[in-house]
Amino acid sequence: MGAKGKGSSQRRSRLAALAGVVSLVACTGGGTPAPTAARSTAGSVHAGGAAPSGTARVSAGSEVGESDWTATVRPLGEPDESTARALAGQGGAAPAAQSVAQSSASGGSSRRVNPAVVSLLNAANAHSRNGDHPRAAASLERAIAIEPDNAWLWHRLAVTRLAEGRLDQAAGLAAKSNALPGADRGLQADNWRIIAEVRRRQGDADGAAAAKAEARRLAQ
Amino acid sequence: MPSKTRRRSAASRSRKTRRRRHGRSVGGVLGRVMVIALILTGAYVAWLDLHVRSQFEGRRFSVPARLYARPLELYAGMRLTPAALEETLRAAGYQARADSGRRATYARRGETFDVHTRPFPFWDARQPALRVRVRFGAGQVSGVQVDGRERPLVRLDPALIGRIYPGHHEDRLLVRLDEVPSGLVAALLSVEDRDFEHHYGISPRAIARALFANLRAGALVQGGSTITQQLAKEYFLNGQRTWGRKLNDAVIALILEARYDKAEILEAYLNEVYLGQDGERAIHGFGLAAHFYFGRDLDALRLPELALLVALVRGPSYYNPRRHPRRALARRNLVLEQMRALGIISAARLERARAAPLGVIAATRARFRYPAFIDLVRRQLRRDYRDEDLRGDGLRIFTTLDVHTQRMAERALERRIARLEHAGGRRSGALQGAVIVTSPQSGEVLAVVGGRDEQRAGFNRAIDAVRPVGSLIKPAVYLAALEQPRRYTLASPLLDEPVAVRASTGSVWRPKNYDDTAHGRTSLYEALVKSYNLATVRLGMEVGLDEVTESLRRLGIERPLQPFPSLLLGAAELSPVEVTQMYQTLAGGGFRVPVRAIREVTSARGEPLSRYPLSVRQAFEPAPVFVLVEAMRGVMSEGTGRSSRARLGAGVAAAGKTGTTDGLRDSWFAGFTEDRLAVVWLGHDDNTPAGLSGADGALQVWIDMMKSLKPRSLAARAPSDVEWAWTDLRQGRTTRSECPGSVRFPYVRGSQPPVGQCGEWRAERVGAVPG
Repeated sequence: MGAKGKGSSQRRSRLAALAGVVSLVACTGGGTPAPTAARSTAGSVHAGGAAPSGTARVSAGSEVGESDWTATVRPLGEPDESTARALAGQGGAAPAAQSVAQSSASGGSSRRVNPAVVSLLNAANAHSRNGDHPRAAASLERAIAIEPDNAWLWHRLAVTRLAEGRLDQAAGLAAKSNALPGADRGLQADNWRIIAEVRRRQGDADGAAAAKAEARRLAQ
Repeated sequence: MPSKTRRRSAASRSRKTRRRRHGRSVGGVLGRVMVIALILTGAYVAWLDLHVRSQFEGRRFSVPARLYARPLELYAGMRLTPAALEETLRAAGYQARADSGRRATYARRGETFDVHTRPFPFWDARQPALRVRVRFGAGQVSGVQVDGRERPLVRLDPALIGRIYPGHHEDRLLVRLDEVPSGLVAALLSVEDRDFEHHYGISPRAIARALFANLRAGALVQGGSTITQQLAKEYFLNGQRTWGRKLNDAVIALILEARYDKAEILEAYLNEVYLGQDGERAIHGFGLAAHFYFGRDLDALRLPELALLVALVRGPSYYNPRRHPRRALARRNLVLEQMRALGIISAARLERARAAPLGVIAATRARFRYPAFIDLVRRQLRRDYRDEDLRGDGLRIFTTLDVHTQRMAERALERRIARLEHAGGRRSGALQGAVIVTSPQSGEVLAVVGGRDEQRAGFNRAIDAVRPVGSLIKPAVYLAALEQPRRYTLASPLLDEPVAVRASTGSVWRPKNYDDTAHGRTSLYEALVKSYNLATVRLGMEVGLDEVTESLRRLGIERPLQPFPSLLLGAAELSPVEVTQMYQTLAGGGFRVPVRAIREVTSARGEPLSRYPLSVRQAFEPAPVFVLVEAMRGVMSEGTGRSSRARLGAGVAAAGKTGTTDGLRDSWFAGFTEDRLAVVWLGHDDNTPAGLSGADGALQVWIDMMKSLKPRSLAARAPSDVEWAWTDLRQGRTTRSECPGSVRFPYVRGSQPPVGQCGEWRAERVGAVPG
């Protein structure tokens, strides 16, 4: 399409003339062109690009703040290195990578860590560090599509949703992670901490305390 | 003269006095009428202007929303067959070549594929064109390389599966003026509007010339409408050819010319003009028409082909080249001769073009290959978008469709229905069906089949066939019971004996078993596995109709259900997609995942607009659901679904439930493996008996499809509060592994029945039987 502004003044004058002509034709009695018509047609403004309203749902929710929750959940560590080390069988892997390995291993009897899942998890961690939770979540969802019974992936998605402020989803995903057999006690404790944090933010102090107690019991 | 002046002034004086005297003069009334007429005309023009602008600017950039299938994620260890990869590539428009030198091509050598992908703007990352090598081995992908280096994961660009123009069945392939072959514009203007560059929307010269030409020819060879008037006509489509309408079109044409420049008007026209009909789909614009008639892009057409498209402007149905090739040929040649007459083409070119055949391809409906799935997408979009939001700007909608699964589902339904009709001597063509396939953990819809002839759009039974579900409802009854582990376990004794239920209306309901016999003492497990109606009604009445209704609601049935006793045997009417939601929650271990067909919606440039994220909500404790699903495995291994064991192979475990309704009207099956959940319905549209039980009909379709998909065996993921115990169902007691007739059963922790006798068991020892 040609530029909108091009020849607009010329067109506007043509339009004003047109309005006049039409008025003259229609009103056989003649007289001055109706001012209403001239104003309403010539004085119009092009509407801007009509973006679908109410569709921008990719909202960056509130960042996880200084709540006690962040202190207790296992850190993401340096995932790119640690997951690579875990893959290579080197020692010193951070908890994140260990969990992936554990979840993957316990989900199937002798299954190895799936490199595709690791690459997606690394991508998710990178997005999370940049505060890009929607992209982090998308990578995690792709990983879950490959390994739907990996409890760690569901947990990571719950963490991401909590960071986005999507509380109900965070709690649902944490509970789902807990229901999978790959969730060891440590991971279950982490999931209960997420649930406790969700309940705290929703104003459910008793529920939060109960969830926290469950987390402590599992962490022992 | 002075006297005259005096007289006139006297007259004017007298008029003034008259006016003063009568208060209102004729001139005053006329003036008021004129002002009102002016205001009305002005308002009318203003209204037309507003309408024209909304039409023109609303559509000018409006590209239909594009729908994409799920992108194939390739990684080592992925379960995929070479045939499925090839099918997916072809669905995405990839061409098989000896070498994959060009984009969107692939070369296959045995179990190795070289794929040259297209660049693609995924919403989370832009991906350039890649040269991918995929190797297969042992029934899975053994390696994925990009430019010769191993990669953990590669995402292929997805298949374009459809376009959406919400609200009306229109489709377009927009062309930009600078992409349009100059021959097309020349041909168009030479026959439709020679003065286009100079007129102001209407052309008196063209009208006069057309009149003259038509008189001379004694027929309608030329129209006097300018391109702009024709565009106006398209915008206010209404068949009447009255003078009032023509005047209206002319005013609109003047408005268009006043507001927009020639190039904008021409481009809008090229994309708007009606050029044919494909069933209920209107073919608008030259871009789409090029594909519809020649199967090629507009810029790949040659002069005679362009001339034919221009010929169609005058009457797409009268000059339909498929139906009336002679007429179309004559009209095309007339267009070419006009071009020659105006000196646009040489005599030699005219002769060559005149000699060319029409070159029209056979009509294909290949563009809408997934009507039922796209229908589901549209309905899910409608929840979140207004139609006008979807219309603009060429949204990209990333769906969850898996083209291979879709193909297998279509084929299974089509072939099995044909076999059933043939074998049963049924009246041909009456048996219908629907299939929905999802991913059990994520709820993503992989395939939707809305009828036996899926390529033909029509009644979408997967969504709109709302039918009694019969025994498919029973898992909800048993789950409501198993949620009370202190009262009910799989080993709980039940009585399958005639039962009469008095409804609140006073009428008495006497349900029957499918085989019309009562089976006496049985267990909760056996009653579900063998789908005993009498035992189920007794159990449901004991648990409570409200509990069962609530259980259905928690499983994801949103439709309000009346808690009548007949609900227990599936008098509730549900659609296949609703049943899918219900079983999704069971497959998800009690976590409800919305069944969804869309992953995300982005703008044309790839900016994310909406995400439809994976979300779960816990609806049940995992343990009772696990126990129920274990019983549903029993359905498949030793119950009403046992034919699957032989046909699918004992190595592929699954869980499911058959459903049959009164008089064998509806044949249902819902079941899942580790990676596929599918619901199948068979029946007649007119609700006459189809003569098929769930096991004879729908289950067979389900098995056929699952076999072709090579599903993963359903894993047993026992939650931590589930314990296993050897159980003798006949006495409803736990035993030891060495006791004859004992089976290992799951129990919610602490709900195991007491230890019974090992070995021979006598009926009189059983305690109270509920009922």
